[in-house]
Amino acid sequence: MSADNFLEVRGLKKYFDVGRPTWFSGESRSLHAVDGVDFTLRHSEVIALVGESGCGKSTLALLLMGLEDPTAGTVTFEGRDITHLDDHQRKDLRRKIQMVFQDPYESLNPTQNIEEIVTEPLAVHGIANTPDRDERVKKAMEDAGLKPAEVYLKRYPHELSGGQRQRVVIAAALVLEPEIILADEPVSMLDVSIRAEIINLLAELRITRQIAVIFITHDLGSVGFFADRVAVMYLGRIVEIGTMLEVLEKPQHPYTKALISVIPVPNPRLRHERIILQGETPNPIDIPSGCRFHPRCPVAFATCKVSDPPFVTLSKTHQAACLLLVK
Amino acid sequence: MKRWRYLSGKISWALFTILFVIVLNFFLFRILPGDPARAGVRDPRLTRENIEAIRVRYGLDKPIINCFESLNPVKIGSCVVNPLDTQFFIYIGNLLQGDMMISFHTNRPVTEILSERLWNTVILIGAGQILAIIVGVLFGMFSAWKARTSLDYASLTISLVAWSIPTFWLGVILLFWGSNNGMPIAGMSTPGMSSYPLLTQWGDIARHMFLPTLTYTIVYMGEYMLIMRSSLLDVLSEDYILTAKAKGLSIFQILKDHAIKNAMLPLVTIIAINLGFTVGGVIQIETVFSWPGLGMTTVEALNRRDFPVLQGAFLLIAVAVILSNLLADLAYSYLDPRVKTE
Repeated sequence: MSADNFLEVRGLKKYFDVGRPTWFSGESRSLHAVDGVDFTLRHSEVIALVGESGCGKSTLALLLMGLEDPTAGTVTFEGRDITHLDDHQRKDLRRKIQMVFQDPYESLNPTQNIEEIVTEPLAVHGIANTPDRDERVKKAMEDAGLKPAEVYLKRYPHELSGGQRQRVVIAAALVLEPEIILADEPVSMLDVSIRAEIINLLAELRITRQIAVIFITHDLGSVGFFADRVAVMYLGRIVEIGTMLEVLEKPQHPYTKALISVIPVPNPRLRHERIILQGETPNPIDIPSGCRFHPRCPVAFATCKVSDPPFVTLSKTHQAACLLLVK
Repeated sequence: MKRWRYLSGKISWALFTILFVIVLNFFLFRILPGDPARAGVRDPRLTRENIEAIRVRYGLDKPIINCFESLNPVKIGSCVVNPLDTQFFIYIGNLLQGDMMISFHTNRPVTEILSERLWNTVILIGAGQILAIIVGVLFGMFSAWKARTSLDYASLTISLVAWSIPTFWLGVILLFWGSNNGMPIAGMSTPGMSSYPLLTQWGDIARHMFLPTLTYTIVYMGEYMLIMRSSLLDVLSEDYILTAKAKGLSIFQILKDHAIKNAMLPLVTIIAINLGFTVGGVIQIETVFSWPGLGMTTVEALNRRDFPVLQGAFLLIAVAVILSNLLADLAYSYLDPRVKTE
């Protein structure tokens, strides 16, 4: 592909074994957490991965970070295959791809103070003793919105609010000057009033530091602010991907339509009918035949039960996987 | 300032508890059936006058406290006795002067007996405790690291079995094993050792310590192992461990900088509480191996209704437990920044 695709994911799959074969049932079953995901990420681009809980978003993040080993598929970063690397090879890469986790109450070690937390990545990568260390730590913290940095250095995580903690997590990611930040539901544990601040912070970083962001969320409403492109995931697969406007204004996949229809609209005159999906997300151990969305799809027809829909290209940037679009 | 207030609050609670124990100790043993004057000297030839003489000698003829001759609620005594002339206030008065009175049985001051026996217990159980902590924690870490493998299950089973074995039973088994292998099985030293050089004497004590220490280590190691394992597994599932992995820390660095420090926190409490009970000695082990420690002293004193020794031993144990709890609190507030020191 073009040189602009600096992170490229092709056919990525991750199956987890659930239950070994026993004397009573001979087959071993597996959970299809991520089941064939393709997408590309460009330089300083923000892509939002949207989906219900259990659709494989977080597993996808762990795969991209190399914290889980994929069952199949490839991840290419700057033209280099990074799918299977050992710890030593991966270490260098970790500087360039950093992750922000969902729960800022759990992702900080309670016995370390903020300075130790933000400095640690530098120490790990052997750049702790450079003279500009303090400068780097301070800059990362201030870029993450912890100003002035001196006030926070000696504090402990439990002394900070949720939003401040998440800023510490972001600062600890920024200090290595990464090129990609993978944010796994970074705002879902925060108060609504603080969510916008953190999202704005990520949007700023992308401008000031040219960082690409993979923003994983279950809340389609919050991505409209700053994502360039949106990918909608369902049961381990991307079902629709396109620019933010294409997906939000002209959704083509019935699942995307349903998700968008339930975003609260402040203006009562603009309110439209909500599409409420029936049933639960199917168990990823027993994936439905044909189109995996058909048991819940309001517009499904007979063929959907047997035929797996291909990706249909709707525009240069917009693709969706639905049999209704095939004709 | 805040820290000082936290500290003084803790200390005043500890003092209050000790005061309570002092009062409780006195009545606790006097509720026991049995007469110290008879239980101490089991001799049928003892006449009524002899018994009375023993009672007078140890002050047992005095009323226990105003209105009570004894702790028998039916026998209400005179309430007009001088309170300072009752057993209870004599006990309190002596204690305030640091005097724990004289043993009914051996006629030696209780402080002297206890300080001698305390030391014996501390070296025995102290060694066992330290070994149990080291072995248990290392074993637990290993097990958590190899979680859900056959190695983990094997060490889990060993620890559970070790923890559930009755101490005295294990002691007796090891005693038989030791006696077949030429190990000393009773007491603290070989008679006549005192004429040898100091180093030989110590070697002799160490040989005597081997079996009881082994018993103690095996039984308590299981507890530490199980707690360390589950605590470490808990910590390893936290997001900050995943974050550390994502930052490129090696497994060793993660364990050293993030996991172990947090996993040790619950252990600190248990270690401190167990250290307190160290002083009490493990009665079963000391009895099986005839180790002249506090535990055995307590059992002997109980059989003879030797109130002063019992009161002294219980006070010592209570103070040790309270002090080590205080120490645990302080250590905790130092190790875990989340524990507010106010």
